[in-house]
Amino acid sequence: MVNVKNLSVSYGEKSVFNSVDLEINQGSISGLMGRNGAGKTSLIKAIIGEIPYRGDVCYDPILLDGKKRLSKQNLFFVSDSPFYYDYLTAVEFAQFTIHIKTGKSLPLEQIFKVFDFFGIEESDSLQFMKDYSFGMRRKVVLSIGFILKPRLLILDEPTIGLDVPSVIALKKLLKEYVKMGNSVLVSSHDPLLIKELCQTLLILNDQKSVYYNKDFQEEERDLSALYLDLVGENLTKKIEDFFAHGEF
Amino acid sequence: MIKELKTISFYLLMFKNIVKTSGFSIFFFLVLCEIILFAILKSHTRVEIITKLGLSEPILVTGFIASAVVLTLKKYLKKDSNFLRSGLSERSIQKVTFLKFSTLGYLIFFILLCPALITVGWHFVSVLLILITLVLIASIIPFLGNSDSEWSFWNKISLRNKNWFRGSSKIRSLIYLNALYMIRKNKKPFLLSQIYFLILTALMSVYIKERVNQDYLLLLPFFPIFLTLLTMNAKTYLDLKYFIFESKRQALLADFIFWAIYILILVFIVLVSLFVTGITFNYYQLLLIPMLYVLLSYCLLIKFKFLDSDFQKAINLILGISLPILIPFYFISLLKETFFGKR
Repeated sequence: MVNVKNLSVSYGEKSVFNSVDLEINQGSISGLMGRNGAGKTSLIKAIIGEIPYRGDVCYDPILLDGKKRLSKQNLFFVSDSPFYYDYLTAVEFAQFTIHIKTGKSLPLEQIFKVFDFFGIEESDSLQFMKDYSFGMRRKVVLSIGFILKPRLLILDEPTIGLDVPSVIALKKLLKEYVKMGNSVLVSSHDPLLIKELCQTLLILNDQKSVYYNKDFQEEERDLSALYLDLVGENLTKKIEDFFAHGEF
Repeated sequence: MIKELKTISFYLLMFKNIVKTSGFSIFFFLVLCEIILFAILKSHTRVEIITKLGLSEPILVTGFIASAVVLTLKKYLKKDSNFLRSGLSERSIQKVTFLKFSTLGYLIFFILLCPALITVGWHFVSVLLILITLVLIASIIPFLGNSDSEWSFWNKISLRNKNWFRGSSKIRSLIYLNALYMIRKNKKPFLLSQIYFLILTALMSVYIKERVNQDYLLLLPFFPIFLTLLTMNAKTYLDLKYFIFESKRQALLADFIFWAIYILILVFIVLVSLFVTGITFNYYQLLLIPMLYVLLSYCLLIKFKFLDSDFQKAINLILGISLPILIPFYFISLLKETFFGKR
């Protein structure tokens, strides 16, 4: 679906990451991990064409529009703090986003069905977005993502702020979603979530990236240990050193 | 004693908040502009400028600036309400807010009036008219309310129709978004700008009635209102970039169409009012120039990236830019009148 080769991003003279390779396959979930500030969000923004980059990003023709540009209809990005219109109700925000992105309007029942799946009741969906909690707003934006049914869904920290039933619902939905031939890129700090959902994994760390394209279900090691091995960090020694002097 | 102390500390806090604002520096800038202009006027003409109707131009200008400054500072003044919220009822807060606006309005008015009084004299009726205007503005602001619940009736109406965003036109959806935001979020600045516009237009209409070739002055009230309206929902449109990158141009176009339609309605109302009151004027100016204003304002907003600022910053900038432009414009007409006579 998306083939990234030798991708580098820098802000001015400051390099964020260099020579990153990544493949987002059709009908699969790809994971993205890395330290804070390693460039996960910058990588996502580069893939969706929001910031300039060096290197190659090749899209499947299905993701391109008539003018060979990345079609925003077939792509939906849910950031860790998604944008919302505070004075629109949840259902209006969904209707607006769908109409602006696709030029079409959907029956309310279809919107309420997905809302209900994430535990947003019909009466709740008539409140202004500003009156919702952080988690509720995220549920609304995630719901919109699934209502739009883009070919490529990109989720940045999708489980932050979600209650347990919603996390379970989201995982099940994502697994079913890729079975329909769609692709998902998930950026997360949660090794359990990545291990459970993803087929491939890219780890960004201090300008050094590691692309892991084996099936995680076959991996015997815990993903946290794998993560540390891949980035070559000896955390155990670090912790021992930290407590060795007894100053903590 | 405690009550008095609380009142004093409240006024000190209010003063501190005002001094900290950019509106305050604009105010000083305007005072300086006015003093320079009056000085120029005095050195170039020995004619005492007082109209037949008693509407002294300097006082009119002073009132205009004072109203603008009070409106600019309203957001900062409202901040102090939280200070009182713990111990006072909503009604008392409204009274205090009214007092604040009145005090500040009078203060600004009298400071601005000083150069006019020294240079060209004054007229009782003019002063009275301006004071009434300021009191009107001061009394309306607090009673517009502080919470959304007071406007829930309008919100409920706008919530009744559940599907605003449908059909084939994205532009129409964006126009609906603008309308919903105006009703739900920006109704107070919107209403204030309308009141401001109506008062200024009424004053200008009375002023041009007795003068030849000064119809264009009737267009002046449009300028600040255009800029206020255009920046009102700017953030709403700027935020579209978060999920529809390609639609920013469409969004700006929708915003432009929305306000252009609104301005045309205002022009129509002014035209009808002038026709009914029998005031003669140039039709072309009144029809074409407001639309050019909208276009020019929009270009300025986009060119100088005012859309990136928040609403209040934009308003401060706009008042800071538009008023110094308007005042010389106004004084040129006065000079013309002084040398070429009246109707």
